[in-house]
Amino acid sequence: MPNRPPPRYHDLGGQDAGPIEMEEHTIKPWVRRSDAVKSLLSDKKRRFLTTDETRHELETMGENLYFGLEYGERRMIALMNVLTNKGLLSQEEIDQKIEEIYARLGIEKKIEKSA
Amino acid sequence: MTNQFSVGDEIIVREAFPQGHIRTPHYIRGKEGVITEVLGEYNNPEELAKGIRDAPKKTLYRVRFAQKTAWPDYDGPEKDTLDLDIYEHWLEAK
Repeated sequence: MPNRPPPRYHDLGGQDAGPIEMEEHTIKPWVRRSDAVKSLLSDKKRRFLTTDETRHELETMGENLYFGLEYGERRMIALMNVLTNKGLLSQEEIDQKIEEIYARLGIEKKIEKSA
Repeated sequence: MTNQFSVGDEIIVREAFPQGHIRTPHYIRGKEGVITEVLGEYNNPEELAKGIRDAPKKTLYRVRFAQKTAWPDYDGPEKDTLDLDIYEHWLEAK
């Protein structure tokens, strides 16, 4: 089979996966909430995005982000990318909201601006 | 829309590696299988991934592969099989 490229990083079928973690884990409230927001944005009434668009984002964000982030985190980044690519939200609006939330919670930390 | 394949047809999965959102696993591309079920017509995820909802629908099939075909170093029983749901445009007649 000539010119058969290796699988892309997200296409894991057949690779060793290691032991299965059998411990129950809880889903953080913000993960549930962001998933609900995504469902509402893509429902029949709104149709702002499709699930496959966020999947495509996951598959193109690069393996460092894909494997470096937790499941809910990388899905959140994918959703943000789709929304900003479509012009439905700007990065500035997202950054500003994050600052507001930090202020509300009394957290000093400033967001690190991406280069 | 007529289906290109029927239950029992022998097929080969296209050995293609395009960019974009592809739901046909890498490991099964180029492998031979048999249609076991015609599942109906669905929006093409490759188009949905670009935000296109009105592209022509594609027929989805359930295709059965011998595990030995999917994984050449498979050391389980010969009769073991693997079923995958694959869209029509990824299948070619054997």
